[in-house]
Amino acid sequence: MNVSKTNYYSKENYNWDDIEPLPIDVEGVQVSQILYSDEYRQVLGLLRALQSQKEYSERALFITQEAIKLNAAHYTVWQYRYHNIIELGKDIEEELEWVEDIALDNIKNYQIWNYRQLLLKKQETPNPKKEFPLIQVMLDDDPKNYHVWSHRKWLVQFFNKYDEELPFVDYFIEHDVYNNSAWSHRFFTIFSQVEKSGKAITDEIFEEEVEYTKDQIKIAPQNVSSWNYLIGLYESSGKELSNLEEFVLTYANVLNEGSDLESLKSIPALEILIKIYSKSNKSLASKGYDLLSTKYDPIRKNYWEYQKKQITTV
Amino acid sequence: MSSDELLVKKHVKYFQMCLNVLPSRLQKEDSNKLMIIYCCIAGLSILKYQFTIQEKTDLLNFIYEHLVDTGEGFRGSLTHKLYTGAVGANYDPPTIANTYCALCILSMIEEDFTEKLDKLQIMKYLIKCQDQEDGSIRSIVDINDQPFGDGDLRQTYMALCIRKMLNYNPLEYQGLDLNLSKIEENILGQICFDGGLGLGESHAGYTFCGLTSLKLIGKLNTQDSRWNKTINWLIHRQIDFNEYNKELLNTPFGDDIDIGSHNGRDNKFGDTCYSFWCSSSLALFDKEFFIDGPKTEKYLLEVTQNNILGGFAKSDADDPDPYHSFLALSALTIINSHCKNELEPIDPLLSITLKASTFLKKD
Repeated sequence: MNVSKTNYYSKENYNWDDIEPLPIDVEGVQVSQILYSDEYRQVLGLLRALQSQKEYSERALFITQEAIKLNAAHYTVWQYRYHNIIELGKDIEEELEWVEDIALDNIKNYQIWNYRQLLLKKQETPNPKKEFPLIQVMLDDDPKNYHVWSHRKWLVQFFNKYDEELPFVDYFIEHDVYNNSAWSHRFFTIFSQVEKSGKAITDEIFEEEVEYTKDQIKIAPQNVSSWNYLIGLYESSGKELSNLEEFVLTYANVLNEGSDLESLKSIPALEILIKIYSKSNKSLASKGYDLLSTKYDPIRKNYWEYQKKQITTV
Repeated sequence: MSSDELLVKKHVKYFQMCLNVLPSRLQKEDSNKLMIIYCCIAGLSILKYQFTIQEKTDLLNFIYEHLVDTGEGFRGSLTHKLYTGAVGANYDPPTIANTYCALCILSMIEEDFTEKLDKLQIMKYLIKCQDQEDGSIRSIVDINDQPFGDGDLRQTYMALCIRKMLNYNPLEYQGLDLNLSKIEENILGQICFDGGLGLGESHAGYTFCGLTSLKLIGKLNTQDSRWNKTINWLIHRQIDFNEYNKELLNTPFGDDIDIGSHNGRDNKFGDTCYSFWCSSSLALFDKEFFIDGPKTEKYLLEVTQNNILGGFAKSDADDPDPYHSFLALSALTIINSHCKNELEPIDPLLSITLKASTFLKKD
């Protein structure tokens, strides 16, 4: 098929007369043939012609925009756009604003964040001021967006700027205590700084975090994210889990028979209790595994039975 | 609408349809078209579909057209091909993902690619994709031969699969290889506090990629107790709501239709593909039997299997797609399912059929 080069793009006042677009249709048998729109055919045809001649120009920049809008997962268009930005001496701030709109339309895209990071590194004085509001908007819309949280982590590390992270995480946990992305970011915030210095977190921070987490567990006792965080705090600080026994017992125990619904307020708590017992009281631990496999968590029956065998045979 | 049987014929038709023509809304997937084809070929292979000689020839010709001129690997779509010998030819690089998919497809139709592909060229490309600082593998190299693009564990996994599928032996090439100790360090650095792997937050997809990558470089000691926590995290991906945790049904991720399915992260909805990422990860430790297979099977067959079109969807609210269709079938070959015997088993290490990975081992 002959690719028209005028329809869509004449309106932008770019002249394409000297360009021979590459045709999108190829000879021979096709597999999984996509029924490309006319627009896609035209844009890709022009993009490839321009890429082939390594052209860096206003019209090339324009075509990269159109291609990204149609196919943000294109794996060379971002690089090509970047080269145009640099070669044409474009303002990086303006480009960051441009990507913002694209990001909002493509919330699951991988390349966008990589591209933003490239731009930030290119700034004369790298400045994250535009990043934080964008992240806020995107996470308000999709609070567990993996790419956006990863980008945040990258920013914090790149700019070595940790001071706003705890209030930021608090905001999301307050909004949804079950948000595991927020809990994971909290762990990163607390531990990554000390990790770098090779020290453990201070007892003061440890106690504060434990209290904070216990308060969150009170709100939602079945929430595995807050329990995992609590265990993570203990293990990463080298503290004994047995110190948690009293607290855990308010949510689960393996002794009370008959009134299970009353005695079990949290399955994650029961799992931790058994973990503690597996070191101090094997018969209680073993009874706990039975309760999990027959009653409270039968979907993981094979796993709990295996765990029980592990502690009784050792 | 639900069926408790695996609709083999419908699935075959579904994959055949996708191998034929795809609607224009999928043009946003154009850059990874080989990924779509890979899912269809793998799906059909699991269903024990016999490709005709004509089908194989057409596929072969089509796939080899994606090989870039330098022989360093495969591009994702012919719509990315540039003028041969053009000054900007470097804007048409192979990608790790598409090279991986091409080799998977070729191996499943039992094409001996060792004659047609230059093992060393491909390997050199993988090496160029490695970030020497952090050990990660990036999806492509830029026009100046520098690693470019996203560099998460998916890329590491696919690069190591390529290395394996090519039967690459560094000793035959003066020790030329990826920096494997950097790769190991990079993976181990992504173990999160709760036992899963990920970029800060544990994620079943990255966990699978990290564990299999370690296995591919001979660094996964399955007896090491450090993995107990990872196994514990993986087995907790299977979703259940019962009398004792029913308050979770009132959360943003609570839906009892998800019982038996797997999620990719804590406190998320179930999703067909994670039944595979989790079961295959556990299979590396020979612990796939920890999963309640019948419940997973029930979810896949009754909730995400599409009775009209064939294929499987991501969840009860989506349309089927080749990716979830392939991974649903793969999961069914690993877990303890009723339909297991009807299916060709999957090799959880390379994510191709066991038959194909056996074929690759033949010299």
